[in-house]
Amino acid sequence: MTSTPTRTPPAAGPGGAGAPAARAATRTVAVTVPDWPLLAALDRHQRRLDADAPALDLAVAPVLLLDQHRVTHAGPAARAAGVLPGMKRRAARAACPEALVLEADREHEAALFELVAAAVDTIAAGVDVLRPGVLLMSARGPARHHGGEEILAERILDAVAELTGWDCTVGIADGPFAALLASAPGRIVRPGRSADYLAPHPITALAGAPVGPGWGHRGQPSAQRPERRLDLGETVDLLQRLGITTLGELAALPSAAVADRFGPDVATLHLLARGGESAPPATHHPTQPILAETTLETPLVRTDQAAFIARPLAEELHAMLLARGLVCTRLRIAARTEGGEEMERTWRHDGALSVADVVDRIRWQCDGWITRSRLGGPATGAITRIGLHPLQLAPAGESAPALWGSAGEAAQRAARALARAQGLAGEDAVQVPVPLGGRLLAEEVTLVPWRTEKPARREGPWPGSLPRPVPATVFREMPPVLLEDAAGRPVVVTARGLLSGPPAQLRLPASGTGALQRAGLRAGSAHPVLAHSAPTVLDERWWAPDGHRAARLQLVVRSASGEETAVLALSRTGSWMLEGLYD
Amino acid sequence: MATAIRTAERTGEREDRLALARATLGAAERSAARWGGRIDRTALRPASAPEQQTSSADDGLGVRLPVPGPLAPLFPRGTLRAGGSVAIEGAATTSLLLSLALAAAGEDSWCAIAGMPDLGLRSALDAGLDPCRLALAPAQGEQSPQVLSALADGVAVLVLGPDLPLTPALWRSLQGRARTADTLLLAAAPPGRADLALRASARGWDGLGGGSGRLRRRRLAVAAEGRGIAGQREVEVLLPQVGGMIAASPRTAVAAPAQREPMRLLQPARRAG
Repeated sequence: MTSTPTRTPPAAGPGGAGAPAARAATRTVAVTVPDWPLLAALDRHQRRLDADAPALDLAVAPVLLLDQHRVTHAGPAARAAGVLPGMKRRAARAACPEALVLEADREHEAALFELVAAAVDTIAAGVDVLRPGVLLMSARGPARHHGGEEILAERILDAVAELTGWDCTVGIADGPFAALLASAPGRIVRPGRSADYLAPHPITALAGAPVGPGWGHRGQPSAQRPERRLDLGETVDLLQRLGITTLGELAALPSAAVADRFGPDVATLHLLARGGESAPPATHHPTQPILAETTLETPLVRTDQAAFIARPLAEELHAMLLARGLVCTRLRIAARTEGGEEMERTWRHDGALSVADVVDRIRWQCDGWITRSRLGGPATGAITRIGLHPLQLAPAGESAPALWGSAGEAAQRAARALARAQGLAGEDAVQVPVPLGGRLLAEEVTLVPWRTEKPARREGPWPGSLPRPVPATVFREMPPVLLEDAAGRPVVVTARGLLSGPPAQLRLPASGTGALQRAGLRAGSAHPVLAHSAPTVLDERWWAPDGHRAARLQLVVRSASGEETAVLALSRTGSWMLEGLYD
Repeated sequence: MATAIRTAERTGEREDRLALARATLGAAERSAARWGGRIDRTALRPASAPEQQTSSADDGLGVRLPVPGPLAPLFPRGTLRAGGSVAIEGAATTSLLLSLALAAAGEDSWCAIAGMPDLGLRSALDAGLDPCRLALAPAQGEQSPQVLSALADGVAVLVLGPDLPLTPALWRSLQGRARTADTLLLAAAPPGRADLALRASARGWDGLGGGSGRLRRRRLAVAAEGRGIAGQREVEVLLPQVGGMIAASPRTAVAAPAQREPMRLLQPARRAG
């Protein structure tokens, strides 16, 4: 429970060094449910029994929790009988034969703790689950909202007891580590005094430090860096062997020396022991996944039915997002057919999705599925259930439109027209250019549908990319051509990057494209080459076995109308194609 | 005399206030751009910037859009009427379309290019078109008339490619929509008449030799005829010059009548929408 703020005598640590770190740390609330794994295992055990079996009273009935044949938690009655954490199973059974033995189940602990997190979430937003049994959150906002830190702590205790039935303890201090240690006795540490509060704790208190998933916990090695197997227990041992026995002594060491000697992970512990924090608590924790689903009474077989069901569904999703103050930038639309088949597609959007956008996308997707099944694709039955899963959620303030510039009248009018065009003819009806980076002209700038997430630019110098001026017409499918010298022999680019002979005429095969016709390059005829450049060799991915070489040549030919036309020719494995036309 | 001085002072004050307002707006937009907004370049431009293009003047006969400087002698009053249509034929249609579209789109208008699947996007961006205000529509499906009409209503410049399935009726209806919506139509060989028709022919390429060099510039002769032009006007430009944009040819042979001053009518009323 709450108490008057602590008055710890100044520790051996330097007071001045503690103050700057404490000033930077956010005021954190730590909510701990003591012996959480034991409570979770007990809850699971009681669910398996009859519903009318009486609840076990831990003070009377001894309960043990085992994890891999070692006792990790023991109830108060079992502790009174002599069972200590760390004993092996046989020793524990010998000490207390009538104890109820339960096995630890991590997933169940984590899942059950969500209830506690949800209960705390009703009091204050921004709950961050550190590990099952411990919750952290920032204290400033909720304390101001409830009118004081003591009141906030009382409300949290009441909420957890009421909604879940478990008892918890609350501690408030600067920085997460101090808050954690303060939550065991249930204290509120005055602002700025975290370092002093931490100093007298023994170094073994580091075993419960709020560190991230890179660390192993409770003897379990970390999953991310298996080769290092760094463990809080081992670090505590190491520090004890070096003669550091309290957190105050650890905090007194200069941080540069700690980072040099032990590495960045122990430097984080050092920072925590000083009352600082390495990262502010994560501020977002949705308690249940947002999902809008509808089951259709009449299965969806026609495309116009999609328009009817799309709007109420989109509005329901929008209302749910609005209630949580979120916007969605990626949406997964999933459908289930009569035959039990599931189909889904993820839409990536550039900016927030509005109701009209979601309606459009549902319509396009249903149209696409129905058309595909009608055209003989994978046989799908009629659609009976449609669900919308927002994937990427962001707080609503981040994607607010700018006050001026993009909100201009011209931009709004254009946006309405483009949206209408997309609504008429599908997503690909309107596309925008996105510079990507590349050597070939067709790859340098790509087209994506309007309002879709833009692909990232590929960095890197692109040796061999064409200098300005560039051709105004770039062929998506490059038409093949024949380049011959004066004697009629085909011209190739040799391995040294030189032409085998000066090109004298450009011959187009029988099938030409419209653009070439309009430029005066008739199909089937030969055009004299008036000037040409030296070939530029493009060596793509020469380090990989699938790399390929190409050579580029600029040509000026005389067209059928007598004018000079310039083209850009590309040679791959000896055959020439036209990459672009200087239109 | 006193009133003249006071007016001069007031104008000077107004200019100062305008400059201060622009500077504040520019600073605010720059900081908004850091958080993801977009910069409206009108605020960042100094109040009187020497422009290479002719300015757009609203002289009471409709909004006029600027054209590239080297092509100005071709057009009546050196500007294009928004809501008009221009047909382009001959060599260099794509480059001419892009440079006209760029000049007409200006600083904050949108441009849509329909029916040009083989457009060289890099040349469009090199010419200076802003990718944030450019939309491309394939418009090849069965909904293409509706898509084109929707685009004609919304954007300021609509470019129609030569491969579009345009019927004469569709062309006429697009012209009518453009006239009401103040959209400039630039079409490559449309099936019908347009307000202005430009025809270009290449005079030669510079820069390539027999096995060396690279293409640097092309001399283009552009002739214009149509509404507001008596007979035919012709001008020679470099398109593209080394940087990719249009430029005036150093040996211009202009056979154009003298430019007339745009008529200044009474207070021009701004067209709504």
